[in-house]
Amino acid sequence: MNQQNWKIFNKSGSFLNSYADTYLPLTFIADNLDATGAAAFAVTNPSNYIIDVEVTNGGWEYPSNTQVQLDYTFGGYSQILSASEVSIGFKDVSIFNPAPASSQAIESVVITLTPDVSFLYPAVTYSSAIFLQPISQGLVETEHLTIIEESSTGALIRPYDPINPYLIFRFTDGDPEIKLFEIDEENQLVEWADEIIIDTTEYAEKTGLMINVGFRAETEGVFERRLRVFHKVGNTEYLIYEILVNAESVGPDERFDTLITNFGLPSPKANHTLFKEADINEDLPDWKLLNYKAKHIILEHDKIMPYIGTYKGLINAIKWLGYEDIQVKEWFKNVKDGKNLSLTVPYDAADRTKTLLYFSPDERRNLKKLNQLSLVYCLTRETGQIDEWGNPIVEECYNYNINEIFIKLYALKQWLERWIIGVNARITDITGEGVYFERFRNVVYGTNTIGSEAIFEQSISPDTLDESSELIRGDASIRLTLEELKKMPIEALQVRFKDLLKYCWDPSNGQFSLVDASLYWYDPSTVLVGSTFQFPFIDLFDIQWRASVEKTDAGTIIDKLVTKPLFVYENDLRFYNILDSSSQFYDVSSNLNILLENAILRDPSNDDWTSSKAYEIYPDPSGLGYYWMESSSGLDIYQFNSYVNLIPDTGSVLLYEFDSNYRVPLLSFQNYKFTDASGIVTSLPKKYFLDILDGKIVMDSSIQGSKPWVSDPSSGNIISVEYNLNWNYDTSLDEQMITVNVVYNSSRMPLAVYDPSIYYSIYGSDPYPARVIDNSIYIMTVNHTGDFYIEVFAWDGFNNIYSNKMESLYPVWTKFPRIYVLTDNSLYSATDVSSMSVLEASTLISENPYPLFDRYIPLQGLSLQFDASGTPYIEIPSITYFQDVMEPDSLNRFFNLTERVISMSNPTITVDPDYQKFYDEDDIRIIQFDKGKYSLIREVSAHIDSISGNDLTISPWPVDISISGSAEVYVLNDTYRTTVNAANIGDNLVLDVSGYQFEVGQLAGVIVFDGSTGYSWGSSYRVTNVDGSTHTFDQTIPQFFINNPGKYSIKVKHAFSSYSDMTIPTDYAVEQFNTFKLYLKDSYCQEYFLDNTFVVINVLFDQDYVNQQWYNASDNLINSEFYYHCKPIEVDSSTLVIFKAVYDPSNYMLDQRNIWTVKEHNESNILFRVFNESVPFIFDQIGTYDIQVESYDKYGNLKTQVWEGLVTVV
Amino acid sequence: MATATQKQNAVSSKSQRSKVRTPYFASAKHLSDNYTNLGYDYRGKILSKTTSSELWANPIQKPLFAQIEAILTFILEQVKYIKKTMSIAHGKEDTNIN
Repeated sequence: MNQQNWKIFNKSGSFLNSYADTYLPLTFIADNLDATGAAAFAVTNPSNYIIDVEVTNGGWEYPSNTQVQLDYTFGGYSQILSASEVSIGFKDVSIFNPAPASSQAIESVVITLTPDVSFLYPAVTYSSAIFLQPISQGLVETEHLTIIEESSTGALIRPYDPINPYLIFRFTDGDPEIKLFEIDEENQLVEWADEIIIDTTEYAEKTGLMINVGFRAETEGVFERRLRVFHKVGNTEYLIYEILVNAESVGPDERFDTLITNFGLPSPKANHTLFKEADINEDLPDWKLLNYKAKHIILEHDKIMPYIGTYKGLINAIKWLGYEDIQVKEWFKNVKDGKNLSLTVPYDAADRTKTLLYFSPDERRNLKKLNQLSLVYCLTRETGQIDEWGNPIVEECYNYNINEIFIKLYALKQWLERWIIGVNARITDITGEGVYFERFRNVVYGTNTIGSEAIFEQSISPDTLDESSELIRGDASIRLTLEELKKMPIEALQVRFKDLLKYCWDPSNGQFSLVDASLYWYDPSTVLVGSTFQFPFIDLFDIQWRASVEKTDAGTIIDKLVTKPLFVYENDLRFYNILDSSSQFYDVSSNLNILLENAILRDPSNDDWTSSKAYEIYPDPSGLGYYWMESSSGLDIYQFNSYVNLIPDTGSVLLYEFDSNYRVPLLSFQNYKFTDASGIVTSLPKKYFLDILDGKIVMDSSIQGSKPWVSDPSSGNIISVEYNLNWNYDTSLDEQMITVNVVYNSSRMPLAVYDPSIYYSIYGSDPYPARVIDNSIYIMTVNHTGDFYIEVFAWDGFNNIYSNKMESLYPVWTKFPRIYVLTDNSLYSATDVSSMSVLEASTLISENPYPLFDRYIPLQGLSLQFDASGTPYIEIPSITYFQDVMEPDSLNRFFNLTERVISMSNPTITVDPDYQKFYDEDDIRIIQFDKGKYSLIREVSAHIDSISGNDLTISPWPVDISISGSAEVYVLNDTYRTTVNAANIGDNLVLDVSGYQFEVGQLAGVIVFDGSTGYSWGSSYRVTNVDGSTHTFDQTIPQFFINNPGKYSIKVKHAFSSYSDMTIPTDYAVEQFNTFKLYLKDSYCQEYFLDNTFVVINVLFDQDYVNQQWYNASDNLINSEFYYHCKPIEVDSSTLVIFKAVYDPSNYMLDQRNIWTVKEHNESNILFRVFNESVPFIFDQIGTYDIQVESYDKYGNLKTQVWEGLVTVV
Repeated sequence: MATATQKQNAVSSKSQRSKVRTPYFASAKHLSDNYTNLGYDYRGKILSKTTSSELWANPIQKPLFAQIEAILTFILEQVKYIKKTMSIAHGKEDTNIN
């Protein structure tokens, strides 16, 4: 047996080192002292003769005459062999000492002893050791030794000895837990043995002899046993190899059990196959694994067990169990579309926090977290690398066979549900997921360039041919052109002739493209059509003009847009014809839009203005440009991305008319609708008062423009006119601004068009007639004066739009009216050439029979307020657009009539109560009031016998009082109310009023009656607080009244028992947020007696006086012709003076209206302001008078002429 | 007779058994270990340090004393098992504790 040629490998393929114990060592003897290192031994055969020499080390520096000495360990032989007995084969080796030198080493030795000497078999034995991996007790660890013999020919073969073929592998002493074993493949059995005999007669190349060593111990410990290899020769067994086998078994560490039980942790022992590393095919627990897991759970349980029911607990439990390749998915249900959505629960804590934040709040609203989880194992995953085709390379990550999925993952699911994920959630499925890429042939080829940037430039500069235009009879023309046409020559453009071409034309083909032109290029009949050389525009086809003006003087909403034209004057919305009281907007035909930024929609059924708010429209405070419309209840709220836009719905009505309740003109709408930011259309079928703080009404109109120079019949030259009625608060003003803005738009029209067929027919002569359209000069017809803002828009062949605005504003103007004074005396001053006949004068008088005053507007809802400096002012809701801010020194008439009687029918009157209440058995005063003169007619007392709603049955019946066209009837509550529990608390009187509740801010009379003397004492108190029947007043009363209730009784009533009025001049007034703040000039502090039972009328001047002095026929002063005076005149008092505003020609201003204002020159008091066309007036007071006339036309173009000191009355 | 509870928490006598041989990977595993604060190294010295040197004068008795010494050392080493019961950071077979 050639065990010296064996090479033994273990199961991992490692070479097994062994120690050779030789009995016939060779020693090499050389005279060269440097010779060293060679080692060899002789090998015998079972016949005990040397058959071979094994050189284990060649050494170096051996000379050729090296001698060999053979020793026999067991004695009796030690000789230097003669040259005939030994031959040495050398080989060259290079050594470096330090210079390189060639040297000889022993390669082989052949010994031939003569006579042959018998030694011992075997001459060499080997010993080695193997160490089995520690294994859990009860489990088996194996080692597989593969023995390969290197034959004399160099072939690697199974150990081979055909003569003495038996090799015995035997465990003799030591621990019996280590054994040899064989697999009986037929019976699927493992056969354990202490000894195996191998037959080596078979010669097999490239085949090893495998010996299986197994270890299985019931107890833990360290074990060892020697495997000895014997060569059996005859009946003798010769030991040739000895291998020490070491093994270790691992048992449970009971200390962990104790701790796990104490902590109440899940025992790894109880679920020993649950761990990913555990082999499901093992019957017994793997303590190596379980000890580790037990220690792990003891050290890490604080990261799992307190977090049961959370992802932290779940993930850490899965990590403990070793399934880090399993992913957990959580599920959401989208309740909107019913689809389920799954998300992987990240393993890293940092990623895990993102799960909840993954959704936006909007998405989260629709997602419902489901109580189910999925376990997902990996089939394949991306490696992050790509193959030659650019496809991602995937790798297998499938770690489970089907049994493991069924057993381990199912057990994992059960265990997690039992221990970790909480009672509600369930793991619903265990799924494998993989990613697969496949290359497929793509027959569609994408292009690389997707977008390109294009910049088109075109110089267009709007210009006008004139400096300004005069508006005559409501018409003016603005002649518009482009500056380039005048200043830029075609040759300044850096273009080729070809660049200007657009198309070709010839008589036989008509119009055709330049692309097709090459065939006909030299055809003399081909006309090349392009941009005209007159215009420096290469590619500019259409233009459109816009002129817009803000009417700062005055403006009208013309009768095309409303039933009765409206007049915007001094920031008030009036009726153009002063006697009109109602006007409805043509909202559908004018395509009307109400755009609101800040407004209040008020409920007309509530007659208290301040509390009638139904909706409020306001901008979002963020300033981000969106708006809200909120109902007063707060229940309905709509968001808008821009202004709130109300548009007409079916049956829409937008009306400006006098309201019978508020007695002022109010803007109201009904059946309008709007679309909010979410696209929902909401209709407003009810009627609402439109209280606009900031907003506008936009209406479309159109006019026929004058024909352009060469007209385009297709366009018709319709000019669209857009009217904007604007409300807004300018911080520089003390009142709300109401203005009319007008925008004129021409139609889009070609700049110039040539007809090649005409050109063809006139070839050779002036080509201009071929230009069938030429809009190089456009005439914009406008109806309004003012400084126009001019814009131009232009389009090129690609329909790109260009626009530019004119640098300066373009004025359109009218002449000033000329004020003439007419008297019947030609001598007062130099007269004009013309005069007025008696008939003409009479006609003029008859056309102006009485002065047309501005309407009185009684305003309700007064309250006394104090500003920061303590100055009192009256706050009044500015409910109408009709009322101008009170001018300084104008008169304010206050009277205490708010409770209007709607109807009277003996014995019942119907009241519209606003600020007072009426109860059964109350005492009232009934007042008849002249609504034309705003003065008292008569007043009586009455008693309420019974009451039903607002119907009061009264006695005695006021026989002299009735409601008529000129008179209104009001009531006042004059009832004394008994009180109890009066007390002075601090600076206030507090008492309980029986059966009546005053409003906070109202003025009440507190009257004390002395029961013993019959005397009474009283004063006015203001109510500062009301809580049920308990009223708090702003002053105290003398304490002795309170202290002696037996003697004194305290009663309260509304402060004014009868009709009261007072007139207080205005100091100044402002309007803020549709509220007037009226400061009064009053040295008597009368405003302290005002409360909301009063209304106020602002009057500029004494109308009675003007009525009186206005000429009427009975004055009989027109006896001769009247003379026109165009210079200041002096007249006697009681002279009829006629003022007339005249234009030349007289029809210069379309539908001329005049507003006459006459002021006393030195006092600057307004004597009167009337809306008559002409003024026949008899001055009876000496003084100098300034005359101002504001003449305006149908379109609200207003021109003011002032002549100071025109008339002096002496 | 131990109660059931005691029995569950008890450390079995089998696990207390010192292995006959040191595990062969132990030396590799603990090659770089440097234990400190191990206290006085009493192993094999307990009896000799606590008895008179007269007693040790007779070399024939030495094997007998060595047996007693081994028993004493074993008993003291067992105390360490009690310590290790709650100190799971130590391996089950570690003796390198004070």
